[in-house]
Amino acid sequence: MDCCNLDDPWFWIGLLIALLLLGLALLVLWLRWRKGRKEYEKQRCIEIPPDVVRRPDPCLYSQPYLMAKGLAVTWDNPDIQVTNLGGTPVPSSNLQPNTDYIVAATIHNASFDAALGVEVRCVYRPFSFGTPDRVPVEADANGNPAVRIVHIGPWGSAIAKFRWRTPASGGHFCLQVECYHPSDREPNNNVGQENTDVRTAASDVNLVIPLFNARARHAQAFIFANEYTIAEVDVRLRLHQIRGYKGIDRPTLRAAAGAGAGGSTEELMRAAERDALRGARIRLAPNAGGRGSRGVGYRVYGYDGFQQLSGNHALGGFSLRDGWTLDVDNARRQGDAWQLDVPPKDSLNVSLRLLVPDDAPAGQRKAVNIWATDRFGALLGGVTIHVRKGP
Amino acid sequence: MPRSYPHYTQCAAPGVAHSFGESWFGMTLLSLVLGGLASGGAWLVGVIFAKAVGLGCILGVGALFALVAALHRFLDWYYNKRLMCIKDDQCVAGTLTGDPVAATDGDQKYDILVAPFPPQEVQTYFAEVIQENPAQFGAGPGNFADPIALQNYVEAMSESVRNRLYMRVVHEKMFTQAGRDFLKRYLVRIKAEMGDAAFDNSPDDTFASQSPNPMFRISPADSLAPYLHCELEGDRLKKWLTNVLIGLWTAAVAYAAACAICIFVSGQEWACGWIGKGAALLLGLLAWLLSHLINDPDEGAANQTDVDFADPAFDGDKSSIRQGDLMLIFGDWIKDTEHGEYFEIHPIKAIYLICHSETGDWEIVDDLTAYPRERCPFAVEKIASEDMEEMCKLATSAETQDPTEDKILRTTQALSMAGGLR
Repeated sequence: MDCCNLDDPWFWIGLLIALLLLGLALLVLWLRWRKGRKEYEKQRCIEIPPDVVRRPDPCLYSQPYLMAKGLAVTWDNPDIQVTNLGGTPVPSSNLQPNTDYIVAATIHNASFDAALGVEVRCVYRPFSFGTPDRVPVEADANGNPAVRIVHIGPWGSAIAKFRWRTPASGGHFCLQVECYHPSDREPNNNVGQENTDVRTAASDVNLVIPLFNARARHAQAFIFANEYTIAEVDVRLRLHQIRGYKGIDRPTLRAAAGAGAGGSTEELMRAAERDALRGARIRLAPNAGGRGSRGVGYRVYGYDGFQQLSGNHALGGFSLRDGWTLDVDNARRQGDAWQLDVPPKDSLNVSLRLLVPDDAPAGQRKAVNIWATDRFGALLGGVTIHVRKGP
Repeated sequence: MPRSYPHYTQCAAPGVAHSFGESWFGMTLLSLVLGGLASGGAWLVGVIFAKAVGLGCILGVGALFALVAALHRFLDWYYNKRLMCIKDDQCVAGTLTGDPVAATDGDQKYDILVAPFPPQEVQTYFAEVIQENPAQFGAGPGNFADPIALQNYVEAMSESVRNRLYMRVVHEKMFTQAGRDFLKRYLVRIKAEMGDAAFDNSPDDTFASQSPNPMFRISPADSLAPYLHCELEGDRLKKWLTNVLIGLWTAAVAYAAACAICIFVSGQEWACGWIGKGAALLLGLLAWLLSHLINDPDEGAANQTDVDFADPAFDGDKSSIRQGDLMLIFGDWIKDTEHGEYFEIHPIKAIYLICHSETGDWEIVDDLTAYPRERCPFAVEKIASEDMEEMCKLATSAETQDPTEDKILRTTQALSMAGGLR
C-alpha cells in the first residue's frame, strides 16, 4: 500500500496526531453538551456547606403561625402552664394579685437536628388586641427579662420555668412566651400566647377589649369568633423520601406527582421545589462511613402529617353554633367578621357581646375564641372565653 | 441509614498510622521494584518473541509503571494511613478563633478555642504568664492591655519559647480552675481519655520533655489562643491526583503498546523508543485533560455548596459563620501524623451554631419590643460541664441514630411542631 507504509515511523506519528485531533473534537462536542445540562452552579466563597450545618426549629404552640397556615387556634395554650409554687396547675384566668406563680413553657424542636442553646423569654401583656406593652414575668437585676436556656433533642421538648409575682393591682393578663435560636429553620413559630377568661352567664357575656393601632396610619381591624378546641387524638407521622424535581419530566413521575399533561417542565420543577421545601428535612446516606463522592449518594426524607392537621383543624370549620353569636358595637359586619377603624397611634375600647340563646340548656359549656386581625390577615391578638350557661 | 456527610479519609489505628517521613523509603523501593518488574517484563516479551527490544522502551515502560506505583502508594498513605484514630463521634464546643480557611487539599479548617474560655479571658492569661516569668519570656510589650502589642510580642518569640508560653497558659491558667476542665482532653494528653495506644503513639506534651510537642495548634498572628483544629473534608487533592494517575496509567499502557506494535511491525529499536515516548506523551496528556474536565478538582473544595440545587433539603439559604461565633462541632477525634503531630476533629460531621459573634458588623439600635435581646445570652463562659454533657448527648443522638419510620404525636404536640411537618 503506497499510502500506508507500516515501516515508516512518520506514518505512526501522523496516525497518532490524527487520533489526537479526533479526540479533541469529540471532547469539545461533549463539553458543549455537558454545559447545556448543568443543573447548578458552584458558589465561589467561604460558607458552611449545607450538608454539615444543622438547622433546628425550636417552637411552641404559636397562634400567629398556625393561623397563617390556615389552622384554627385557641388561646388556651397547651404549651404555657401556670402553677402555684407547689406545682399545682392554676387556670390563667384565675390568678390572684400579688401572688407568686410558676410559668412553665414547653419548647419543642420540630427538626431532625438538635436545638442547642435555645433562649426562652416570658412576658405578660395587658388584656387587649395588639398592645405594645410587654412586662417580663421575671426580671434580672437590671430589669431585663430573665432568659432561660434549654437544649432540645430532635422532635423532643424541654420545659423552661419562670417565677412570676402577679401585679398587686390585679387584672386580666395575657402571657407570652418566645424562643430564639440563631440557626432557626423556621423563626415564625417562636411566639405563643396564653389568654383565657371564664364566664358564667344566664344570657349575654359582655366584654370590653382595648384594640391598639401602633402604626402611624389609619388601620382596619377585623374581629372574628369560633368555638374551636383541640381534640386530643394521635397524629401519625411517617418518614418518606422527598424526591425534589430530579427526573420530574419523566411520564411516570409526572403521573405520580399528579401533574396533568399540560404543565411545562419548568412549572413542574418549581412546584416540586416548593413542595420539597415544606417542613423539616434530613439527608441520609446508605454508607455508614459518610459519602466519599461529593453531592451524590444521599436521599432526603421528611415527616408527613400536616395534611392530617389541616384537615382536622381548618380555620373555617368551627363557626359558633346552637344559636350562639357575637355582636360588636360600632362595627360593620363583613361576612364572618366585624370591621372596625382605628385612628393612627390610637386605641379603641371594643365592646363585644356574646349572645347566648335563651333556649340553651343550663350548664352548657363552650370555649369561644375571639380574635382580631389587620386587613392583611395578620393576627393582632385573641382570647379564649370559657362560657357556662347559667340558670 | 446514617446521616450524610462528606468523608474521604480513613484513619488508621495507633501504630499503623505513620508520617510520610516514615514511609518514603519503603514507598520508593517498592515503586522501583515494580518499575523494574515492568522493565523486565518488556524485555522478556522481546525474548519470547525473538525481537530486539531497545533500552528506550525498557526503561520508559519501567519508569512510567514505577511512577504509577508511587502515586498509588502516596494516595493510599494520604487518605488511609496519615491520620491516627483516637475516638469517633466526639463533640467539642467553643469559639471560632479565626475565619474558616480553605486548604489546598480541599479541606476547610475551623480553629476552636474550647469552652468555657472566651478569647479575651485567655488573652489575659498570656499577659499574666509573661509578667510572672520575665526570666523566661522577657519583659513583655509596653502595654499589656493592648492586644495587638501582646500578639506581636508573642509572635516574635522563638518557637520553643512560644510553645512553653502557650503550655503554661494551658496547664497553669486554663485548666487549674475547678469545673472548667471538661474539655481539657483536647489540649492536654490524658491517657484515660485517649486510650493507651493513642497515648503511647503521640509525642510528649509535658514540661519534662526537652522539646514538648503540644496537642493544640497556635496562630499568634490571628489570635492568642491555643486551639483545637477541626477540618471539614474536601477531596480536591484526591481528584487532582486521580486525574494524574489516569494520565500516567494511560501513558504507561500507551508506551508499552506503541513499543510492542512498533517493534513487531518495523523492528527499528531506536525509533520505537521515541514512538513510545510520543504515544505516551500524547495519549497521557489527552487522558489527563479528559479526566480533569470530567473530574474537576475545584469541585472538591469543602467550602463549596456540596449539594445540588435540585436537592429537596437545600433551600438556597447559605449559612455562614465568622470569627467569634460559638458552636458545637461533631466529628472524629484523630492525630495528624504530619503537621507537627497535632490533634484534630477530622472530618467534621456536623456544625451546630450556638451563638453569633458579639463583634458582628451590625447591631440593634432600636428594638420595638422594649427589651432588646442579648446577642448571645448563652455565652461560652456560661457553658458548664452539665451543659456540655447534655448538648453532646443530644447532638450524638441526632447524628448517629436513624429517625423513627413511624412516629405518633398527640394533637397538641403535632400542632406545636406543625412547622416541621409536610
